[in-house]
Amino acid sequence: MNRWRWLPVALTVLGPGAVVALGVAWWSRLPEPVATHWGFSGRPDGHGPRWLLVLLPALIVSGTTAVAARGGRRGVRSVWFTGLGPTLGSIGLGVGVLALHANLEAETWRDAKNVSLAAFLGIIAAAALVGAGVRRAVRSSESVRSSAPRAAASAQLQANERAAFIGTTRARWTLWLLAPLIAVAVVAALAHAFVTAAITVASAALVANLTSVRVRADGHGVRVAFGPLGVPRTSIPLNDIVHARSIQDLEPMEWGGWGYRGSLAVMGRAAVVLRRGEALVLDLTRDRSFAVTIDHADQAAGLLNDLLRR
Amino acid sequence: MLVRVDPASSVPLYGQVAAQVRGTILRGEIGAGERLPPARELADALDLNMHTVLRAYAELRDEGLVELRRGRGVTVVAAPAKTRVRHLVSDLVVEARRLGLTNREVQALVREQL
Repeated sequence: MNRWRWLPVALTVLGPGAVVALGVAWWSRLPEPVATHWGFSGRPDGHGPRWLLVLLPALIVSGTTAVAARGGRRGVRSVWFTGLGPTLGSIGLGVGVLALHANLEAETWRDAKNVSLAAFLGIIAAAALVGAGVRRAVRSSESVRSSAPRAAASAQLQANERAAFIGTTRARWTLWLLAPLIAVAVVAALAHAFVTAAITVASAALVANLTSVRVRADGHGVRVAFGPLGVPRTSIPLNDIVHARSIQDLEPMEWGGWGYRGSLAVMGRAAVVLRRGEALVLDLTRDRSFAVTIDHADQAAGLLNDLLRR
Repeated sequence: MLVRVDPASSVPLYGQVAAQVRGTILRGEIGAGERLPPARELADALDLNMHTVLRAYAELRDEGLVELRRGRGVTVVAAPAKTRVRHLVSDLVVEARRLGLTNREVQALVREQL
């Protein structure tokens, strides 16, 4: 237990806690019902009971925390409590205070003050930064590197040899998502709901780009290219890699889900997850980690370790 | 697919690449219908001339293991192992004929090995 451990827990709990305290303090000065939703124009357009507004952040945070805590695996709890928890707690705090303040001294919910979209987005952005910052502080003060494997993978590269690993991995299940998305887009376009259609098409494009991933490991490092077109690309130079290993049991929830998760720069941890199972895991400099689900990960890991030994 | 080459070896580089990729195909690590990495990419990864890799791919195409298709790149044919053996058998028959062996003699020689 290091001294930074209390920080994420405090932020996760205090945010909603402060909203409850504020709600109780201001109880008599709030209308019943209160405004609970604001439109794009900033004016209140939805209402609900007072107690719900006061308790909602607390309910959401405690509910999601309970789910994460029961997630079982240490990795999920770690990611939650050090990053996502404080983020959600901060969002709950910001949005809760904003909503309560808008309703303060209002005669009816319609008289509540306006809440601008900019303020809302600002809260989300600030909360994300808080979460990332907390996670950084916690991680830099403890070693999260898993214990070194007993035998490092090796491809037995000979002194004169040059070698490269190129592997493509497909996730067929994402194709199943594409059909309904495209159908929705077509229907929306026919119904002249063009914004919906555009958003659906954009989502379909994102999903399509996750149907396959090509990984290349060679003397330059590791390069990952997404989708049928091979863009976007992300690369990790060999100098940034400390050790490579292959695992058979990558759990998407330990890395934040499916797709491109995390960020090496902000969170120190990133992964390209197309499925559960076999994956290449890279231990990087500055206590960072990167994982990508590929077949024959042992070949890639062995090759990288041999190159690192040179 | 792991490909390794030894520039110091007496075996020409394109031959080494061809052998490595052939092994990958025959071991089933790349399935029928799947694409090989583009020649430019493999060449860049191995620090080789692109034409070296192209020559290796051409050799595999001549052996019937892959086919080059515009827009689809280099793909592995269906049943590559069988295709490979069929090619070897065809080479065998051609050579036997050239040397004047009869069909019966060829069949007997094959049966000896089975």
